[in-house]
Amino acid sequence: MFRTPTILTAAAVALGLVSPALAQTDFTPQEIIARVDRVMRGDSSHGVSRMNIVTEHWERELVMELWSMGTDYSLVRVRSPAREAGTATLMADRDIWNYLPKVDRTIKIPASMMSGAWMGSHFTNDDLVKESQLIEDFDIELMFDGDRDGVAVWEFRLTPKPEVAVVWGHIDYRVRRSDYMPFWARYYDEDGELARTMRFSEFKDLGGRTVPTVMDMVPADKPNERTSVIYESLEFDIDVDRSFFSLQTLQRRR
Amino acid sequence: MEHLGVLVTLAFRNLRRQLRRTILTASAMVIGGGTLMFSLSLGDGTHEEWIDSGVRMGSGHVAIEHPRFRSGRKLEDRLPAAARDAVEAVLRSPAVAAQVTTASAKLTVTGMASSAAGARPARIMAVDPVAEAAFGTIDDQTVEGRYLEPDDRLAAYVGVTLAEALGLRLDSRLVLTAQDAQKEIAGQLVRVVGIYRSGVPEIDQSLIHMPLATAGEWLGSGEDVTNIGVLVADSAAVSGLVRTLRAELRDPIAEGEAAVIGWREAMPELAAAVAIDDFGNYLVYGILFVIIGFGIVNTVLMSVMHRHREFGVLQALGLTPGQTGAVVLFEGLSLTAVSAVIGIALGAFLTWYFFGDGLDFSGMMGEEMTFSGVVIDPVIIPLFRPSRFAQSITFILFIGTVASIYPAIRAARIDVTESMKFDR
Repeated sequence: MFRTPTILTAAAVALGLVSPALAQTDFTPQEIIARVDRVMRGDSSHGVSRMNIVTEHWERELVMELWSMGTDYSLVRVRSPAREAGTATLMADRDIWNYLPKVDRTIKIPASMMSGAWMGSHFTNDDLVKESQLIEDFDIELMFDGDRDGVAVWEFRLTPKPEVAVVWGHIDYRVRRSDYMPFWARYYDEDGELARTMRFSEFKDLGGRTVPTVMDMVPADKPNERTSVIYESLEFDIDVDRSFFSLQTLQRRR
Repeated sequence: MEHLGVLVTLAFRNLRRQLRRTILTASAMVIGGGTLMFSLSLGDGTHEEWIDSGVRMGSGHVAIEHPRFRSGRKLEDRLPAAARDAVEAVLRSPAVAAQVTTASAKLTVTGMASSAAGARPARIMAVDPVAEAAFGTIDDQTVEGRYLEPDDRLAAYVGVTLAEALGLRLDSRLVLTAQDAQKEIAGQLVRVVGIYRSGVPEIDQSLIHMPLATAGEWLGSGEDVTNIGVLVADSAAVSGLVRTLRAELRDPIAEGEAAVIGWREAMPELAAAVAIDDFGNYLVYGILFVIIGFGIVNTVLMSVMHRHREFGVLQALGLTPGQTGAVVLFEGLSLTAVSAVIGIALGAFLTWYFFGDGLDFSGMMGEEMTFSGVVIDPVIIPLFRPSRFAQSITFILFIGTVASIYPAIRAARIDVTESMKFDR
């Protein structure tokens, strides 16, 4: 399973990496996406990342510490700036809670607030939990198989199956053939107009695995704005269990 | 009082002898009564219109819902099936059915509407398309496409502001997200079949109508509804219907599973607005009739002064001062009674004849006037309530009586010898 790429899933990127030897074209697009999917999936991880948010009017940077387990549990705690340090978000199953240390309050994000921007970024609360099950929800078609800028890539078009609760008209997805690294995902509306682009770059070894360490989210209608997530450290298969992703942990101020 | 017949005859004779003065005084009262009727029927028409728009946009003249629904608007606070069946049985019973124009059961949840262009908070109202079309007004406010139809499944009817914000057009994908019956967040794809403009910003930017059956599948709530709205023909019937429903539903109400709410409770701002407006109107009528009253005092008093010698002669012939006063009082009363009836009948008839189809105020208040989330139609149809006729007649009679008292006292107190001294 693959989520709409998010800050948190990036933490899980590159877990369960399949061997490059398997990366051959004699797989169906569904199987390839399933493998990319497995690349993006993790058992557990812990890392530190910077989130750089650029809008028309302001720019800011947050440093965050992240934990994740599988696809259902994650926790993000802001480390800096000092004004917001301790602010934390817990995602468990499909619920989100925010903890605000200044007022010592935990807020469960209601369905109607899921559209709100997460920490002022271009990610919404909904982005954090939305599970678009690519294999189940989309018809996947291989659109291109060959070299782009000297790199062998696949390009897929993912079209939502009828009646699936997905806003996109289709998603275009470019994946590097050699190691199943995603390059970008482009989200289109039904009129074929680009709505937003998620770019992956700086593929580096972190925690013993190759992962895209930079993710940029660019809204199409505001090309001058973006949110970048840059991973500084990552470790995998850490020692956490379900009980870690609890409201008690959320409210720990450290 | 003795010789009542004589006194009344005297009073009528006096009125007839001074026909011009009588007609002048009477016409002041006729105009007053006519104006009162015109203004009352228009005021009542306005309020009925406010109430009607308000309840159609809102929860109905009478709403049956879970007691906690109004404050939390959560899916878990929905009506149990037993309560819904009971409500529907009551609404079908002949006594109640005669008053009820229409009823619409709906499931309302708050959630989010998202498209490729973004996401907005939304109030999602799942309805039976036919019942809701009869109940609400929003189905007539389509600017593009159409309202929901019975065979629709993945359909949504959205406001123009929301459509703009989410870049929606007809047939656009729209994903609705809300908490389902298991308290899980669930998404549902729908397609826009129609776009409306109600004129109320809060509604245009957030209210989405969708078929109830689809919502039941999506939210796992089956046939359940959160509220049932009932409309009646005349808002005056509301309190009676509320009492009937409360009596019929006493079991679910006692168990805290249902509540019956009249529009005054459901929309206190609207109830207050009607009360304030009524008060303002009464104040104006009061002032109007004080002025008319002074006119009556003036003419009756003048007639008394003018007839000093007459009254003197009457008293010399044996009428007591009280009887003399009574003659004047009878004059005033009969004049008032006749002119009140004529005035009110004439006012009601003219209002009905000229403005029966509605009086267009759009020049004065613009095409769209909204008031606490309710669009007010600028065309006002006067409403004639029997109770208003009775009230008006009583009111005018009261003013006429009060205005005749002082002249009557004057007439009673004349000095017989002084008044007969000179032949004027």
